[in-house]
Amino acid sequence: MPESASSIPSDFPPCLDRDTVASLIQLGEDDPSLFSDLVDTFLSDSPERLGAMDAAARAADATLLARSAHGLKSSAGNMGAKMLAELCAELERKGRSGDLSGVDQLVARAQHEFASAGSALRSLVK
Amino acid sequence: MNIAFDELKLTGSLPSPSGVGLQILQLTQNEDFSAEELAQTIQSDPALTGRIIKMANSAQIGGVKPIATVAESVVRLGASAVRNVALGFSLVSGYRSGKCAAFDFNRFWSESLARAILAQMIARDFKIAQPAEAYICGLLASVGKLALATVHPSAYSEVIANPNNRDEERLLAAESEKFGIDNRAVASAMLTDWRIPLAQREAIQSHDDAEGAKKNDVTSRLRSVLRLSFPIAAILTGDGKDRALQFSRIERELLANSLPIERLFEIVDKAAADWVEWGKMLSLPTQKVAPIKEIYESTQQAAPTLTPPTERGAAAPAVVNAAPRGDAAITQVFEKWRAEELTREKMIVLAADDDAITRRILATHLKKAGFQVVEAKDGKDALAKALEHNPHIVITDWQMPELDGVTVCNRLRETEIGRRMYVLVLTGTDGEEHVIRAFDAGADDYITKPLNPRVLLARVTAGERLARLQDRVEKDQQRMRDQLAQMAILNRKLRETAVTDALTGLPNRRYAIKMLEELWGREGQFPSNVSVVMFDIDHFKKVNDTFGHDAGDAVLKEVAKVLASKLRSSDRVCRLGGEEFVVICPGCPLDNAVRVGDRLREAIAGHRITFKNFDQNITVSGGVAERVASMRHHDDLLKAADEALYASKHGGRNKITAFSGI
Repeated sequence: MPESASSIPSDFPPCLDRDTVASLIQLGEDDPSLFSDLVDTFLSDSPERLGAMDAAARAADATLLARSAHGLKSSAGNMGAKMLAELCAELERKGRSGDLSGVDQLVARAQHEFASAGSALRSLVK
Repeated sequence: MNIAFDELKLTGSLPSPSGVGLQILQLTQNEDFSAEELAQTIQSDPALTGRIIKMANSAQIGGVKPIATVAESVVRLGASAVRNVALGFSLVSGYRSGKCAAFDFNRFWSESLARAILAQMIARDFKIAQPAEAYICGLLASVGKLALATVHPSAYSEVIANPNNRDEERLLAAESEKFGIDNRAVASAMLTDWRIPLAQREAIQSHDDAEGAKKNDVTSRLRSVLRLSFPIAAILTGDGKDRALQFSRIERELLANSLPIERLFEIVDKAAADWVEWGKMLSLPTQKVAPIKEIYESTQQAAPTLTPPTERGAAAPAVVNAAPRGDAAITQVFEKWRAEELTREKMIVLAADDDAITRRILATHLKKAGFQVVEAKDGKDALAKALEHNPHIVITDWQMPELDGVTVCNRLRETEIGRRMYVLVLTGTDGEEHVIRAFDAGADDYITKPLNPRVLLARVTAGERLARLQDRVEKDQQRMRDQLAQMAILNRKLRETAVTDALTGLPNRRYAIKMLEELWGREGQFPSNVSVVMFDIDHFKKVNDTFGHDAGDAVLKEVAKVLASKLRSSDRVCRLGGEEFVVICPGCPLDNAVRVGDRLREAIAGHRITFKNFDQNITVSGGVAERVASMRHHDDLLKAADEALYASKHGGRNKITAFSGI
């Protein structure tokens, strides 16, 4: 078992997908800064997207909502933030179909999920 | 009309600007094209659009609002600069590498670019020619070499690898011998195809011909510009070996035009800096060179002592300071190019995704698997980088701002090099619809997101296998094209005997008819008009009857010789049969053709022919006709000339008559 994979704590944060994070850490075995770079990028790029989603939900702009949710969905999925990715997927679907019922709550949940996934990821960076 | 060139053309692999480049070329042929039309044409090519805007912004002074459109760029840079960059980029990006081993494509373009910039600045500063015309001359002066390297890669590689052919004149001779045409003639024919005006073509074809009396027409002035730009560009890009020779060329040309060398040095230093900047823009290797004056002075000091090439020993101290600095830099650049050549063998993958995280993960996976990775951050960037790096495999996200993956795929498939790339589209898991649209747009395969590394590598490896196969197929095809081109040369040599008159060595009637047919087909094209002069030897029957047929043959040969030697280079003389000859003058109006005819008539009348007991001057009568709208067939043109010839015979012979209409 690679050393990096074993360094994942046993109390692994439930908001993250263990396999995805493990494979990211393993991917960085030749490039030690990869994982921390990815986390940094995720932490710095996502708030803007969440902000755009929030604004789109308030303005009932379905197109903007779909577009910004789509962007965050990829990042979150790649980083193992599976709940966040699922929320974004739902928001993207709603944006595309034009059915904006309950998107306010979904955006609020996404913001909450980002906060916990973000701090969990940060705690995994040495 | 050039048979050898037509054969090169038939191979279908002659270099030409890409679609947009060609459109720009045609649009800007007239000086009065509108900036708006130019901007619209450029916009149809996203990669080009990106380059132009980037260039406009780099010329922008800080703090000003950045330029975002091509139209603004045209205003900022000027329409002719935009045209030149666009044309150059379209050619350069299409022909960055090739199968001709001894031909260094990057160095070729780097030197052409240096020459173009030098020509433009010299033309402008010395006010001897139109800067834009000079730029095109400089850029395209050697394009015939590129053409030969592209059409006959292995044969041309042999020609240029032969150290005997280092010298330009020897090279031209070797090309003619091997291909039946030399690079100058190829360039001239290509530029005709691209509708570059005659003066620029002539300047390129004969820039280093010895000029008799000093003329002051556009062609001669462009020749001067080229005679200066060639050696300077060679100094900027060369290995420092024949600098003394190059400088002596420059000095000779400056002297002939009474231009000051100090001013030229200033121009060259500015041009050299520009060359480095433009090189970056077009991703061409360039290098910083020492001020030209220093190089010049070091050459002047080194030359008279005739020191052996051991630079350390006898050279004056000043030389050590100046020259090696440039040379070391040059060596470095060359080594870098070689290193780049060697890494070519690695498969290049372009990874395009607007999400930084996906892009980084994708790139890391690919690099680990041994690919060389180029990253692009959106659709526009992807197109620009694809055309620049010519990747084997393209992986593009579906949803990206501005240009989505499907559009990227579509646009790539529209270009020659893009058709060969293996394109993978990244899609979400939700859309079967997406997958179908991606395949419609010409994608080879798709991968669903989120990325599963094992699936990703399996798909990319499948792509790699196909790309390598494709590569091999192309190499085979190239070999076949080579053989076809060789066959074509052989065939022409055989065919030449069928279109040549055995007695006089002139082209025969068949050739004349073929040439007229060809010109006839070019209705509305350049050259728009054509005239012919038909000649008939006066009292030829009497020569035969009195002095015998061998004397008659001698007379025919002598007349043929005089006609051929006094001809303008654009005209062609053929023996129609018997004692009849025709001179075909493409692009020539009636009154000019009459002058041509009369000059030839006079030359023959003044030429004494001696053969055994035959010793006298003979005369010819001629009839001239120009193609007019009412002529439906080239036969009508010959008939008209024949009618005029008949009038000359009846009017007392030894004269020229112009056809006066029906």
